[in-house]
Amino acid sequence: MKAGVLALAILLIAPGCSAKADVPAGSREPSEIATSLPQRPEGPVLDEAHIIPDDAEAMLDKQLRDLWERNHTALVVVSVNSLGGDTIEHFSLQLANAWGIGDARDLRGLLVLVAPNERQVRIEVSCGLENVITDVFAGQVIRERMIPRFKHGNLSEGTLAGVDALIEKLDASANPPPVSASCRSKMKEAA
Amino acid sequence: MSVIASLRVALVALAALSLTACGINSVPAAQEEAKARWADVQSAYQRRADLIPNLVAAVRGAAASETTILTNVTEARARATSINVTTEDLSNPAEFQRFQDAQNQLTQALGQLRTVVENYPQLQSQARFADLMTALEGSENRINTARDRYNEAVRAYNTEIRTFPSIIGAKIVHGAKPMVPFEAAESAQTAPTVNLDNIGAPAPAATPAANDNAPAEQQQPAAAAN
Repeated sequence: MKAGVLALAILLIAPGCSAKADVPAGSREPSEIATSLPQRPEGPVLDEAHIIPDDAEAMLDKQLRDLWERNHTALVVVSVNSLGGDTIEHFSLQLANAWGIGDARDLRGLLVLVAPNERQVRIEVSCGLENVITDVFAGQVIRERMIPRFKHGNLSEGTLAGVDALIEKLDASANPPPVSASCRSKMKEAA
Repeated sequence: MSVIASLRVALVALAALSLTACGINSVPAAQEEAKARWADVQSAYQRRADLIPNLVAAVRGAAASETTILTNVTEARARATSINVTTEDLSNPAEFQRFQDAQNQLTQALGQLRTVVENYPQLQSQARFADLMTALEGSENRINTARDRYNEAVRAYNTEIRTFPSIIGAKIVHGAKPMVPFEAAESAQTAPTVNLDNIGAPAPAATPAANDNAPAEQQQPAAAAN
C-alpha cells in the first residue's frame, strides 16, 4: 500500500512541471509586497482625496473618455488619502500594474497620481508611450503646470492643468517614435 | 486486491509518463526570461551612464570648484561602464558582485553630486539642469524596476532548477547553474521625490515617470500548480 501512496504523491506533484514556477511568498523582498491599493474605479477618475469638485470631475471624466476614443490612450487620474508609508514611485507603479491601465496590446497607459497629504505627485507612463511622454516631459508638466498651482493650494486646477498638458502632447504626437525592444516583447506576450 | 494492484501500476506508469517532460522546457524558459530581464537591467544602467557626461558638464558650468565630486562621478562612471557582464557571468557570483559594486559606487557618487548641487540655486533654476535631473531620476527608477524584475525572474529560475521534478531536467539535460540576484537596493538608491513643503524655494526636481508599466499579469506569475 505504501508504494501506492507514493505513486499517488508523485502524480499529484507531477503536473507542477508544466506549470510556471511561482516565487514562494516568503522569499519576496518587502518592496514587492503589494501595498493596500484602492479598487479600480468604473471610469477614468478616482478622487479618493476629494481634490476635484464634482462638476469639474464630470468634465474630466468626459475629457478622458473622449481621449480614449480619439487617441487609444488610457489616462487615469487618481488622488489618494494616503500612500500607506510607501514611496510614490512604488505606489504608482503597483497601482498602474494592478489596474492594468491601457490596452495590453499597445501599452498606451498613463496614470496621474496626486497624494495631497504626502504632498507628492507623479505621472506614471506605460512603455508604449515612453517616447511620447518622456521622463523629461513628464517632469516639466509636474514642475511647470502642476506644482505652481499646487503651491497656491489649487489642487484641482493643478491636476487638470497637468492632464491638459498631457492630452495636448498626445494629440500632437500622431506618429510616435518606435518603442523599446522590451516594450515590444511585452506587447507580443499580450497579443 | 488485484484491482488496487493494477491501479497502482497505472498510477506509477502515468506518473513516469508525466515526469518525462519535467524541466525539459520549463528550465530553459525560466532561464530565457531571466536573461531577458537582465538585458533590461543593462539598458537601464546604460541609460543612466549616457546622461552623466551632460550632467557633469552642466554642473561644471555653474559649480566649477566642485572638481573632486565631478571627478568622482566621471571615474565611477568609467569603472561601471568598463564592466561588461555576459549572460554566462550571471551564474558567476564574483563577476556579478564586481558589476554590482561598480554600479553602487556610481550611485553613491551621484548621490553626493545631488547633495552638492543643492548649494547652487542658480544651477537648480536652470530648466536644462532640471531636465537632466529628471532624466537621471527616471533612469534610476528604471534601474530599480529592472533590478526587481530581474530578481523575480532569477528567483523563479533558481526555484525551478532545484524543485522536484524539474530538477531532473535541470541537472541531467541542461546542467543548469543557479543565477545571482541583486542584493537589496541601498538607501542611496531611493530617488528624492517632490516635496511641496518648499514653498518659496526653487521647485525641486520633479518625480519623473518610470516608463515601464506592464500589464498586471506580468507582475504576478500565475499561481503554480504545485
